[in-house]
Amino acid sequence: MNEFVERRVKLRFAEPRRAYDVVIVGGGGHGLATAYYLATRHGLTNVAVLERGYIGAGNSGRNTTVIRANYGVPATVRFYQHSLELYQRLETETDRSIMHKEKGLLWLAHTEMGLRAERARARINTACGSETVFVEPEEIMRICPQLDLAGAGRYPILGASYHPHGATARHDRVVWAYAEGAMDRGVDVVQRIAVNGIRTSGDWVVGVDTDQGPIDAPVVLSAVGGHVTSLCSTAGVRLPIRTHPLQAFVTNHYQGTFEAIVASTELLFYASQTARGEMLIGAEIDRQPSYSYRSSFDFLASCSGRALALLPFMANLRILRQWTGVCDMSPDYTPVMGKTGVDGLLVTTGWGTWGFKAIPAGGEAMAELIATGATPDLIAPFSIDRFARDRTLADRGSSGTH
Amino acid sequence: MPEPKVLQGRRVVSVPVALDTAVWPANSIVLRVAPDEALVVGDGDPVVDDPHALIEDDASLAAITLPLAEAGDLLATLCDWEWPIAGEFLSQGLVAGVPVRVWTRSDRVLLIVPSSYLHEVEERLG
Amino acid sequence: MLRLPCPQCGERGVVEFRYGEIPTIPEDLTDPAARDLDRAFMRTNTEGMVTERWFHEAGCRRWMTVLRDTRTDQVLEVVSRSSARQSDRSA
Repeated sequence: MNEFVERRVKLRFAEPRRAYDVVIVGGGGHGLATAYYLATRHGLTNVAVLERGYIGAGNSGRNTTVIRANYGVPATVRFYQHSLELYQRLETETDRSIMHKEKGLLWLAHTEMGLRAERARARINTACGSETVFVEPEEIMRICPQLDLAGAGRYPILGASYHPHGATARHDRVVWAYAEGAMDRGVDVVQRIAVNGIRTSGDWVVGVDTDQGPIDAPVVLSAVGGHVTSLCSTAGVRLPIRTHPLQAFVTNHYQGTFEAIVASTELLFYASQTARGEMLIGAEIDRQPSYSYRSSFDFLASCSGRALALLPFMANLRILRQWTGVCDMSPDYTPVMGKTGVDGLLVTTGWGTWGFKAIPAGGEAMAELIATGATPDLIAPFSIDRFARDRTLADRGSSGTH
Repeated sequence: MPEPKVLQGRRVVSVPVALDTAVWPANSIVLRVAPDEALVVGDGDPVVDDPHALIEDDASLAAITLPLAEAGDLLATLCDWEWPIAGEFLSQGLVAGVPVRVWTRSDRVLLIVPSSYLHEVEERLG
Repeated sequence: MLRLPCPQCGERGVVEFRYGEIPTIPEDLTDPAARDLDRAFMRTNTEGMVTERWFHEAGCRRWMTVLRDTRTDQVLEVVSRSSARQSDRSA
């Protein structure tokens, strides 16, 4: 919160009115980015963003802030590459500092199978317009000298894919940049309002029910994290989403410089250094669905052990904070975006462990869908009917990590 | 071992100067866990001079309360830092290998842990 | 950490168990193709009480049926073997 004062963020929250053209449920990155692009690209400002807690309190404030596009199927590579490019321009576009920093991302392979996967990743990324190259161990050591190539004798580093435009940004600042941009143009952002249900009339959406009374709107977008299934079920919409906990932690300040972002699918772990110098470490989802936001000591112990196998210098660091978010996972590890079958009800979900990097492209695409009524080509593959059409997008590049 | 208790409180995130000058509810326990963050256990609302302060209900921590004498004996062998230290203070570190915040007053010591770790501490303290 | 009461081994940490979902399909869904699609991909994703299966992989290697609140991770009940079979059938 110090940053509010440092950079004098002017967030002016609104009281809810009775009716809007568009109601967006969820004041996280996706909801606020959608509102921002509705206002800036399409001139639609009779829009409300309704947030149950405070903006960015959910997964927008709980992720590990990695921005990358090195996914595994063409549709996702293109989508995330577009998002990565929007992030590169976001500070200029919004005139707000989001502490965006390109770091380069190493994705390590410890087995022959892993090598094949990373070579395949480099090729499919290159073919789809995202820059990723395969690198040998000597190059890996140049990029990240802290790595133990022997992997503590158990996880030898045989090669990696390197994604030079992999980046991080400060998550709160992304949320505030979009919120401020939307507010300045007349969008109502309301905090501390709980949406309990979606109101329909026949096959049409007519608004939402909140704990401060009903609000009318012919278009409702669910940009909710975690509770999206319950919300959409009030309009009779079934979703292919299961909600899992995802844990992460940061250490105290590391005196050295750790430039890159390092990830390993086989060890289910990834690490980067925050602007404060802390080492930020994340892992895979917990296997059982849960909304409890409970962290565990067991996770800390097992994840630290795996991290130390690759980055032995971290043995001298202490863990400062640990937290848990809830991830909406789709069966094919790919988002679910667009129309729902109920007219006027749109959904952007399935953001599982890759929601932060998708905020700009996701918001831009949902805004275009709301404003024009037509699903943009970029997100057409992510529509919910892909499961019925046998067009699932099983993506090994997502793999349940960040 | 006394029964552990979940700490029902408020988590306050604000600028350090506002936390330094905040008015806390009477009889509350204030844990200043970071310059910009405090956890207040007890009834009533804290008054913080910061329009952007976040004040959220929090039940994520649990505490085991020990008399000072008893705690000193126990922590002398289980702490990874020197014990005892005189005075009123909040320290944090590993107790029996588990991260614990130790809140010390003249008569008692609270071992504060995330409630999801509680069983780890209980098992290791015996 | 989520702790599960195994009838054979007592209360153990969740890391010893493998999760088993009991899929639920809305009863008003009658079309067989729609039911298949729902079974394969759609999830009820309950916020609240769920009946689910857990396999004690690193212990006695037996399945049990558990009633858990997904909002708090509190386990309220381990369903006995006979009633567990019934709930399997009804699912």
